[in-house]
Amino acid sequence: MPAIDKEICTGCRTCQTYCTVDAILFEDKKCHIDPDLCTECYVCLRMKVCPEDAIYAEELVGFYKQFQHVISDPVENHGVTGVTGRGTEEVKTNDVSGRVKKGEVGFSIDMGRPGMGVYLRDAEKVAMACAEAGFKLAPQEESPLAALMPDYRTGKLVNECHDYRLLSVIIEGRCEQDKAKDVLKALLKVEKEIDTVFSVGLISRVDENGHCEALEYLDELGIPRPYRGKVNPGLGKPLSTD
Amino acid sequence: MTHSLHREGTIASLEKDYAVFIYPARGYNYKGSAPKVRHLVEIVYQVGPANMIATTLRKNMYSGVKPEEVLDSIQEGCRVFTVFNSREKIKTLLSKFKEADEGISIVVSGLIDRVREIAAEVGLNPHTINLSLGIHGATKLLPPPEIREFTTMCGHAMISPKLVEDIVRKVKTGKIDTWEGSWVLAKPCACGIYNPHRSQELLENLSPLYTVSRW
Repeated sequence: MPAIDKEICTGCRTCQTYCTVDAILFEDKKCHIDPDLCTECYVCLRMKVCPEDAIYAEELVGFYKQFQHVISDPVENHGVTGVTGRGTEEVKTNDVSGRVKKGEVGFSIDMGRPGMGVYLRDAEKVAMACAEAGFKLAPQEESPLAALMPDYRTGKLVNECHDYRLLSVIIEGRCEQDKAKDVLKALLKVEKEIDTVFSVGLISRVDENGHCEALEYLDELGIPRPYRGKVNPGLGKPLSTD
Repeated sequence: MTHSLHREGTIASLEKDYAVFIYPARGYNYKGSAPKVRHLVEIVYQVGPANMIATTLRKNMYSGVKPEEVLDSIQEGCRVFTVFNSREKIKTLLSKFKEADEGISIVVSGLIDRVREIAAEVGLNPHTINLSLGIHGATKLLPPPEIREFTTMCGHAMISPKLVEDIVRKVKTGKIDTWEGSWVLAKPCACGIYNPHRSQELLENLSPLYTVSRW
């Protein structure tokens, strides 16, 4: 994990400017990194932000510390999914992988985004609420967070990880179209029970006429119609037609 | 890169901001993908991106890296993240990608109606869409929206709100200009989709009016 050598630090506070989650504190005219707030994103190390070179890396001890770094630092490659970033291909290859099929709706719930970070205890609350509403969480071959779940279908994480803070982590999965409204209702309820934010992406196949049924119940739930989105135009091969 | 979905800003500003991903799929077309991805990146360079990164090199366009270095770095499974600043360029890009027919997944992130319109114009019928349903939870704790317009341009939140405030302060006091400021903001972005052209416009609009405190 990153640390600051107090002997070298001049207290210029440049590092504070770059820290993504305000984990660098200034006390007694020196900067230091609060290990409970740091998400191990390593932007301070990678960018070499300290003019005196006072920031150095200490060994990441233990599985959860390493997990925290691998998910928070977009340069790292996640071991199981083989994907950098938060370690998920999400909808980007759906034209080939067919993860979200016709008649299904997928969600990618981006915990801690934008820019607030997330303690895994809050990610657990949201994952469990979704699972209880009929959301089928993705297994660890598709979604790194599932590696912390003894049974990924429940959303429950191992207790030991609860106090680790990540820059963000994705809760990902899918459900039958008729369950999507229940999942959205669960999200609107659980959002009041967490100390961070999440951004929601709703993933849907598009029919031959460009129609997306999932949009119809957003109005009913008071969720504004989206104006931003990702479009997969189906250029991948072999094309999934399911 | 999920977060490219939730870039914030006015419609007029987002009209000049489209992220594009080139993504081989593990277990499907990963093997043998290198020459195909290389060809697609050559097309990206022909069209003229506002920023770009290949996961095999991790240096964005403002790091001083040359196109030849990026192309030479591409290996099997390499993913490419790029951003364009006009509708016309996206239309040209998609048209050339369609013609190239390399069979690698492509995703365009932007104003949904605009992207679907462009896809229709080049004869592509979207397969899947991912729609942004916005931010939920303890939103009162978020930085102000005008700061988030910058920070959400990095797909992995590598640009801190304090850095944006620092750059605004430096622009206001004449220490740097808006383009130099945008370069500084683009540097921490390890995913290559920070759009410095849009950032420059945002700085031009924000700097005269914005008051920032110094700790």
